[in-house]
Amino acid sequence: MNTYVDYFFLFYCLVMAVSTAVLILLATREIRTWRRAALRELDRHVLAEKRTPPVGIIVPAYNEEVHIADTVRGFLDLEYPDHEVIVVNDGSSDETLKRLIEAYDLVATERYVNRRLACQPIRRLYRSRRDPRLWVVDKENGGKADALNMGINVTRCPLVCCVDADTILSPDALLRMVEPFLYDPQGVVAVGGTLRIGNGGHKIRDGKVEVSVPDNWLARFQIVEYLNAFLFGRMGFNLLGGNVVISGAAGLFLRSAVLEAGGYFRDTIGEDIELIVRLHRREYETGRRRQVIHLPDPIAFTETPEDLASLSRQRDRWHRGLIDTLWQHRRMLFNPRYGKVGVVVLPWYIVLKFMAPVVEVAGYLWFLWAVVSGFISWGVALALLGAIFLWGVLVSLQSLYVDHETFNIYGEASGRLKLLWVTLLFNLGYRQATVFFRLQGLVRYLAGVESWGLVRRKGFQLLEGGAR
Amino acid sequence: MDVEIWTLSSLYWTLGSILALLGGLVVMGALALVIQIGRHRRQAKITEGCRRRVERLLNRVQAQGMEAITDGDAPRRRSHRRLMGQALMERLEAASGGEWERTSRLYTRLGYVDRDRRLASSRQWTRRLEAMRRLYSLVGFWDRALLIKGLEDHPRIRLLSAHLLVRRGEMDDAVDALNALELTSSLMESPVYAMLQGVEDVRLKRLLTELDRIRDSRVRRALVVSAAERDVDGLEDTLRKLRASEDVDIRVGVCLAAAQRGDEFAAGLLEELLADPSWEVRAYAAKSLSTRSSQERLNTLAWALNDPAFWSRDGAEPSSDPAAIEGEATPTDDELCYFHEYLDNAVRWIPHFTGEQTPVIRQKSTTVGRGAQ
Repeated sequence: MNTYVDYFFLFYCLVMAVSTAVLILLATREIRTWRRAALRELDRHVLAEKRTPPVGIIVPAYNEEVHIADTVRGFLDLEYPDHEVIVVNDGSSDETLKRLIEAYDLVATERYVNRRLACQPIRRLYRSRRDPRLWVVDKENGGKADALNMGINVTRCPLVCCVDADTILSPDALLRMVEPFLYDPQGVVAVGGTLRIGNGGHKIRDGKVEVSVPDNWLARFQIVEYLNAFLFGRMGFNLLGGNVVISGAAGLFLRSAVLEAGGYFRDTIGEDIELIVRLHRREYETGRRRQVIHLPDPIAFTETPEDLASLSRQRDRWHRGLIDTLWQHRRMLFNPRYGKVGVVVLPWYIVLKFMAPVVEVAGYLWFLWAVVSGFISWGVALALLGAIFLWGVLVSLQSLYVDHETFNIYGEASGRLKLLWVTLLFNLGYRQATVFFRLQGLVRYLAGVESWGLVRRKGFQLLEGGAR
Repeated sequence: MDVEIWTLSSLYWTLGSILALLGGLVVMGALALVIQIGRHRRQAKITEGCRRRVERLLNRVQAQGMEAITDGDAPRRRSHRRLMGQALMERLEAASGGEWERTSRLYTRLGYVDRDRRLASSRQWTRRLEAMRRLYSLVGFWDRALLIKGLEDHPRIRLLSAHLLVRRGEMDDAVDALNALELTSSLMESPVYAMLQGVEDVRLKRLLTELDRIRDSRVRRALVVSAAERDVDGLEDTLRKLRASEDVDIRVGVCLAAAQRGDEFAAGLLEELLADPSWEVRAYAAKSLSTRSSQERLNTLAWALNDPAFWSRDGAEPSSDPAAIEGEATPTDDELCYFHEYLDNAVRWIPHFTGEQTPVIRQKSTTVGRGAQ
């Protein structure tokens, strides 16, 4: 019995290591390809062309009174010839709406809203007299998915950019994200970009966002974690043709495809991943094969939790969202009809994401039991743990190296050296804590818990010498 | 199997080897990161030096002409040459007019164009694209054979090649370039409009005469609309002919082209198109007419009262701009009257959208028959 369990854990570790190595290779190639393929030379034509597809930026806002005016300004200031911003005030109980009315001189107005996607009723629609590109929808509370559906109903732009109210987009984010829609004949239904962490403060210099490494260690660990997830996981799957995650913090969608798919599901916790899987599913079922693309460019900056309780709630919710999506689309699993998404990507998520916390915690316990019972010696135990630790460090180092070589948003040497330390310590405690939070998410999913959980944020800091 | 794998002596050797290998790789990785920091610092210094050098060379070109540049002005070391090329490209992206021209000529003089030409035939499409991107940015770059070859390459290389061929190539090559474009959605039209923006009026007129040879209806549409925007002579006949096209995209293009013209011919054409069988065409026609003079606008609104297609009615909607609401551009009483009727009819459509019943539309006596949505 012991032998079979040992083999299982060894086999699992091997699968994890080999699949990560393959993803790293694929992702490195994909990042290089996208870096070379961006047609920046045509940017000035695109910016000058009045027929560049209009983009509607949908900003769901619930109790965002502190930052909403600033974030909306950031969205309005993006480099793009034709975009509108639709803030959906999702029945906030604070003064979100009042802040917007004051800051942008909003006036009540009318517009036909064809409610193709289910959502709570509108109380009132406003438009800014200061900047007519800004619309604010005041509606009954219905949750984030509901608010996004409302925004998609309200806008008439063919492309919709769904963002979080606390996201900062880099000035050329829309230009970069719209490229695949303009130049790719295979067709595209959604484009996501790499999300970075802005807890340490940011500044915009020469049209580029520069960020500092935060002082908070939890936030620092998340920088490495995000690099691993975005630069390797998602870029690797890009090349395989089956990226299934576009972060809810920033994604550009073909509105008609989202409408056709039925919009965001309101009764799921992971509405962003669920929508992407559904879009893939629809493309396969209708035989169109338009793509979901993830760009390596750092297009959005977000604020991550800086305390364990908030981090725990966030990871718990993400894991429940993932499980829910996998369960809802279980028919796609191992089904050749859904191509690489069904045969490779979703099974990968099952084995290495959904099962990972269970196997990892069980592995630690089994390991401990084996050592205590004398099945293995302390020396071997430490060697095995060391090998797993070193492999984790190696993966993180590789992410950091690729990031510095390509985008290098932590330009200064001190920041980069700090991150080098973080990669060494990342696997000593932080990773195990997130494994535990995800396990907690699994248990809570099985128990039928559907709450979002409050994540405490302190807000972005604008560094000296930068412009908004 | 009753042998515990942990008791195998080979395990120690294997584990030890794995540990040593991983440990070595980690140390190398960490060192690589530290070296990378140093390398980037050095590169930043060299790049700064290259930028200053480019500045000096450009000043010299401006003062003494291109003859003042010699082969010795190109950096000797390979890494410096690469960074100098990057500095020149940066400068090109930011420059315009005379400076753009000088920088382009300097780039050519220092031998970068030859390198890019070689790379444009590389086996890797990303290298070919990178080279083509650089060549595209240069003033007066021309290599017909390379560009014609580019039309059969990756879609992005195809687009860049087509840009240059349409602007400067022979008419047959320009038509081939337009035919090489693969516009699978209307979103992809925007780069074609951008391409045609850079074409001279005379050339655009000649391209218009070749309209029948262009296969893609979206490209044809873009050509017609661009010609209308630039008020190219003799467009009336083309528009009249295309108005009867069986292709909805083309008829939408006629609406868009007519919308660019403020004359009676265009207004008449748009009014005709309000009776088009396709709701898309009607919507574009209504939208185009709604931005015109008052009388035409009233007619449009009259149509909007009866059109079963939402977007046709919506196209004719009076502005909901807050400025108008606040009275800065007060609508006339007639306009308001039509608007209220319009809203009234819109309310009747609500049960239809919710799937409850089909609405009864109030007919206006001024309307004539039109096709279904």
